[in-house]
Amino acid sequence: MKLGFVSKLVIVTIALAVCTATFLYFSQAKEQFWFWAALLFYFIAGLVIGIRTQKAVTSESNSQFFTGVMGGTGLRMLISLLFIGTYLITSNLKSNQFIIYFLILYLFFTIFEIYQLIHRLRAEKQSKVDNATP
Amino acid sequence: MGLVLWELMFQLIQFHKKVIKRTKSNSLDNYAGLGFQLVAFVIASVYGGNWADSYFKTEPIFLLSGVFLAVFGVIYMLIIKFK
Repeated sequence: MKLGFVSKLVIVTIALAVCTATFLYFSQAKEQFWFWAALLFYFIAGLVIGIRTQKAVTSESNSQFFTGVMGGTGLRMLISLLFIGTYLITSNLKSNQFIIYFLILYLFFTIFEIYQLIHRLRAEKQSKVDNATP
Repeated sequence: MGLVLWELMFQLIQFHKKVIKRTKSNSLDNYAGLGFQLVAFVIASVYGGNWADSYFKTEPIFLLSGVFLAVFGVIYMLIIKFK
């Protein structure tokens, strides 16, 4: 059974939620709502930016491809900075634990998105080769 | 209260679409304006949420709503602007 981008994103998020719950249970970190908010933030950002980027990958024009992929990656970084900046300004704890957790999430979701893009591009290329052979 | 907030947000989006349509050009001051707009929006959302939390004693609901509104509002503004 082949899963789509959204289903895979949901599965990755659930796996990360389980890891987060385990981590929070053992570490007893304070202001735990920030951890869940970060996970939700990455899920929604992955959904919004990911779907647009996936569309850009399949587009015929080169400029649209580069704008979509680079723009998506840049936008994700910008909004991540916004989120972490807001945390640092508003939170009284400014916990290192949360910042490291946030960076790990960033890494996970970025790797996931790049993997999905490569997977999609490879499939696209393969179908073009198959169509070209007589 | 939820309905009022929803209506307010809808009106804001409509107003923003009108403003964007009117000011769509590639001039430098337009992009600088966008920067100020983004920063003002983020500061207003986050500090508004923080203030609402301390006023209604509902920490951290409004603050997190403000953060999410700010972040996804920025995505929305950028996408509309560069479409």
